[in-house]
Amino acid sequence: MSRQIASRAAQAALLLILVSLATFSLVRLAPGDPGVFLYGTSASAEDITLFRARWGLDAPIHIQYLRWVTNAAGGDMGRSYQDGRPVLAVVAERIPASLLLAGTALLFATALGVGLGIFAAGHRFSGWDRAITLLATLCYSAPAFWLGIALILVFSVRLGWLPSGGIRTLVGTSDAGDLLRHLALPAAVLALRDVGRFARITRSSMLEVLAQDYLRTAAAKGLRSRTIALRHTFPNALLPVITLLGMSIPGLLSGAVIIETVFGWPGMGRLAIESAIQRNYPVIMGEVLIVATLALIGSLLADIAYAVADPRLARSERE
Amino acid sequence: MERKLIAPTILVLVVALFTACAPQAAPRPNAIVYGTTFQPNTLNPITAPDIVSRSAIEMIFSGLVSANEKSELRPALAESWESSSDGKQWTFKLRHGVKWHDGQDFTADDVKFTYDTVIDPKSKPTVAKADYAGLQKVEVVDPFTVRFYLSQPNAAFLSLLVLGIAPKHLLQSQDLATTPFNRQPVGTGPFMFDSWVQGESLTLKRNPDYFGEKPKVDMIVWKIVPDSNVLALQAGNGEVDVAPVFNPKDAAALQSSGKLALHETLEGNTQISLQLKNPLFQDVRVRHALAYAIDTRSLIDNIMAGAAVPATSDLLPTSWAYNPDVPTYGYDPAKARVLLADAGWKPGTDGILTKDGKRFSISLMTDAGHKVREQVILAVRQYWAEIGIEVKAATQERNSFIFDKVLKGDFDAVLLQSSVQIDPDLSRRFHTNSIRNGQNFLNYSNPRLDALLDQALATSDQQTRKQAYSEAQRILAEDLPQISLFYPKTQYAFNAQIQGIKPSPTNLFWNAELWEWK
Repeated sequence: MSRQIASRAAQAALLLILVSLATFSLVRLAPGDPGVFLYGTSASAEDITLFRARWGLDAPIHIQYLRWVTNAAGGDMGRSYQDGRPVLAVVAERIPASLLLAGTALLFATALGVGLGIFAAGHRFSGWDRAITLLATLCYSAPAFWLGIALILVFSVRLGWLPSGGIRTLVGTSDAGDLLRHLALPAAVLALRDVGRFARITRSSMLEVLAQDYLRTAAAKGLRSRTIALRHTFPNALLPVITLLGMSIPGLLSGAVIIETVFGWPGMGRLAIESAIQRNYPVIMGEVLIVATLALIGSLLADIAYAVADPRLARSERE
Repeated sequence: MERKLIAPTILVLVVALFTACAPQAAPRPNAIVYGTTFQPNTLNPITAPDIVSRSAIEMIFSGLVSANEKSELRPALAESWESSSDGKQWTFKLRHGVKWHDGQDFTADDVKFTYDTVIDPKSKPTVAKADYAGLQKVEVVDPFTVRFYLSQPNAAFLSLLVLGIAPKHLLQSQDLATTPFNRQPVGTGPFMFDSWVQGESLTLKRNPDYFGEKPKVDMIVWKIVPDSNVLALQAGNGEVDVAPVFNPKDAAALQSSGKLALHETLEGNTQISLQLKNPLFQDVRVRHALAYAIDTRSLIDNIMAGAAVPATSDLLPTSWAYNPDVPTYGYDPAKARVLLADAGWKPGTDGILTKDGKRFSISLMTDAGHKVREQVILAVRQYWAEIGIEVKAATQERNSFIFDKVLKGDFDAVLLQSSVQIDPDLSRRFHTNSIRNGQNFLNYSNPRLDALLDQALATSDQQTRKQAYSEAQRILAEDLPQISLFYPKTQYAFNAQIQGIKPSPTNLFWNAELWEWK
């Protein structure tokens, strides 16, 4: 197992270098210029030249990449063109907000989605099953920006229960309750999408396992259907759910671009958009690299969880 | 046993959640929340060329002079000034007893440091150095007197001195691009920096020692609301106290509740710039025809919901140099067709005009994402199609549009909004010298206009300048290197309980110290 992890780590390092090269090329091939973002149409050739010189953008492109790699290897991801802060600080500042939003949403989505999925599988083809399937499909296909604005109209404008954006009350008291009220709407929109995914996957996976012979035996033994579902079926139906969870981990940090924009949530998704508009190359690179690293860690964790959930996998690797 | 605990635990958690969520009634703080889709890049006056950063900076920093809502210059850190008879030396008497927000004394050394840094080619990036190109050196005469030496007289020079003065004691020997000062500014303005959370908010607090009239509110908060639809909802809902109205059609709805008041000011000329290197546009009759073909009134009524004024030049009607009596081109497609026929353009078999075997086919571009401009280019495509011109209308992401198309002059026709300057000098857009290094991406060159613009800069007599700019506006309206459409109204929705607001075309916050709750 530990050898397995070491080889995965080596693969991951190679993958990160490839990701950095691909991102660097893509970002630089894109038209536009970071100086233009600042100076706008009043830019003179001299201003742009000075700006490029200050940030080393006048060097040949491969030299710029080598410089970036050398610095990054030493832990220096460069500085933001916007205000000159280190990229790591700029990115780190945004992580808690995204983690909180996506983490809350994922927690709710998993609990609710898996629960609905198990229930639907247990009541296959009943009215409940159809209702849950319909709901899941609706949740998954409703566009986030539309759902976001709709919820704002109902809960902020019409009812006045919840704030329509931001992460805290800017003027006056701001405590944990304040944070929760700001979190409610964006987390709900983000969670609703995933509820659908989790419910659908859990349901089909449960049905597949339920068709197995040993469960027919269990039923013949006279076990209660709840015991069959939760103790004998669900653990075996867990694998696809774990895969889905593993795939969701990078999303915890990459942020939800649209929802963060609609709700003014100062997370990683917004940072990605802002730095792309600014052509803030070092920040884009830093953010992609950090999210890529976390995606790799996420898939590694999912693999380990696989081995734990399915003893056959761990055994076959040992043999 | 364990299972029995689950339901009560959930119940307790839910109750706790809702109790915590109950909003607490608190007295309204003496603060004004400004909702905006934009945020500053830096709060250092020396390094910020963009208008969003500068409007925040102007609350924290004072310049030697400041501009009011009519773009008139008033004393600020400078109490008085005089220029030498040849117009090449300007001497400023500074205000005594002004303190930086950290308690240090403000002196002439700070003024010299600020301008030395701007004109030093080694310090980068800074505000547009080209603006200050004529400034040769700055001399400290005594701690409260400072003298500027210019290479040639420049009547627009004073308007450049609105630039915020930065503290030498905090910025000397710092790298401008990376100094922490960019995020933790110390100025002499009416408001002091408090906090800045990227992507969320910028909070400024009252400076009790401000040299001018003391601010009336304790805090001004910029709340970053990236989605303009949500911003309109928040303005209507009272979650923000002040907000720009992006869609003119929202204005009536916002006002109807009675809780909001609207304040408006004019924005820069929304115009179509023509690329004069293109042989198609070299005949002035063609340029006139293009203007006659556009129904500006209809654009204003239908796209702007009436929130705009027909434009005649890059100067706003509020400017002292504005000339209302210039040739205009009312909607007259028949006249447009006659002019084109005179210029030798005849309809081809497909209805598109042709001349010497060449079809009149052009592209018309603007930046993507600006709803008004996107609609205007579609309407203009239709108008020009009606007189037999084929138009390919396209939008491009703003940054690459400006860098790859506009600044490189790589276009046929582009719809742009001219920026508003405090001084009426038009050289940077239309002077021949600005073709190479400036904003004359139209490649317009007219020696008569160049002479007028030079003459207007060389004199300090406002009446002489006014005559020169009147004539310059007339020439531009006749030559028509760009077709002026309208000055959009920037509308701000304000909580009706706030008073003292007078937005200027360049800065909403120019008199923020006078804003107050009734």
